[in-house]
Amino acid sequence: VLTTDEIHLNQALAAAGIRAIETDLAELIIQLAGETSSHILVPAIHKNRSEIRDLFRRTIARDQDLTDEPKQLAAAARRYLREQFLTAQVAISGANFAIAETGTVCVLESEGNGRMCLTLPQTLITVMGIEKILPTFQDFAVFLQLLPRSSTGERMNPYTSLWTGVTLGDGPQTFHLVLLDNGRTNVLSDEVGRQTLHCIRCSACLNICPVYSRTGGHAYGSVYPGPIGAILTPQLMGVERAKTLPYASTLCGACYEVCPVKINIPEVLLHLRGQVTRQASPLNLEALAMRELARIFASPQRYERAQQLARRGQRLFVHGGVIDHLPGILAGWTTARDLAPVPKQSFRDWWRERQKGGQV
Amino acid sequence: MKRTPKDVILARIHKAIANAPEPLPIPHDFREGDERDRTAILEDFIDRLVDYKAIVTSTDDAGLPQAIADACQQQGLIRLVVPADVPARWIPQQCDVAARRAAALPR
Repeated sequence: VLTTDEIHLNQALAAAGIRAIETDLAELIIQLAGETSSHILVPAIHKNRSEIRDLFRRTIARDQDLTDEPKQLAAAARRYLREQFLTAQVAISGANFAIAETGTVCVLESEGNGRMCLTLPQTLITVMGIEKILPTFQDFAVFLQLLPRSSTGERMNPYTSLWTGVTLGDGPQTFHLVLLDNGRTNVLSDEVGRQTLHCIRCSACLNICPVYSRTGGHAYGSVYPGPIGAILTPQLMGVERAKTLPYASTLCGACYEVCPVKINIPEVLLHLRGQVTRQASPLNLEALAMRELARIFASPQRYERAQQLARRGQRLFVHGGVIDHLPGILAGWTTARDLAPVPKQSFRDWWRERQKGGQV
Repeated sequence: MKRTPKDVILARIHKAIANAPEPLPIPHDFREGDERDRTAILEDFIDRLVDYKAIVTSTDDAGLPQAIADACQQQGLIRLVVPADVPARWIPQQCDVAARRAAALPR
């Protein structure tokens, strides 16, 4: 569950001597492997089935004949989890939505493990971000269509569980709902950033993102990976604790295009980059360089003088028509790519020549 | 007066949106129902069920016990778990009811 990852609940429970077992198949896999999630919807997407088989053989399916057939792997996890469901006294769940007018809480899932978690143990504790609350059932109907279509591309997810308090003699007899702020009101108070709270965690932005698809989720080093994580995590934790995340994007805008709740992720990324820059020390080398560059670009005279200077200075570094090695702190730029040198004649030079000669 | 945790949380939310613009009205002018006749809707429903690999049998109230019995026989089922209020005539003769879950709903 993402909200409990966010507050490191499993670690806190372990410290209190309570063993928490993940019941979502993918979450179980990464828990057994001692890893962290790499995707909002499919947390173990970075593991292939042979890795999962080896992991199960080491942990929950010792002495069992197990191939890497998905069916067999699912059956092994089922055998293990059923036993846990029937013996656990307390279940902890997240929630996708809650409906204010009726006090109903809702979980959407694909496996059925969630429903067992919600119905078998005697006590249910649900941890839910405060932004999940919808006013009415009529609003809920809209989101019930949006979420599965944007997250798995299905017409509808296989399991939708709704509960309103407890029912005598059926299901959990005690229900606790924990409404989690954990930085959300800070996000809410920011004029540009507050749209981030519209997120329904569908993960469409991860799946479309050219950066996410190259780096995978772990590279973000955040509970929420991908484009939405790059704007949500810095806002929840404070930009000073995640200041590289707003830069983990090419600003191509694909995430904004697929977002079912129309969060303008590029806009929020730029907004957060601005915050990072404003927070940086005025003596920061990059900030100094950028300020100088802004001064040069602001005046045509200074710009042309800088060009002439660069044209003379670059001679040492041009090899075969490109700059392939820059010195000092600029070397980082050329480790993975060449830089085009400043051309012998700029457009302005050419234009002035043309005016003088009448024609070219 | 002592502030409860609920007051604190709500105050924090109110403060956060104090300067926010009024939310836009939500137009409920989208299609909320399916105006086609029941047969067309049922056909759609069966089409989706079959697509998800369900075995679908269409029957009426009189044919229901036989349809359930046939399904159990095809699957070789002899033990069933049923809700408390399932009519006895629905339970196939060859089947035992292992548990009738008391649904104990408030009447």
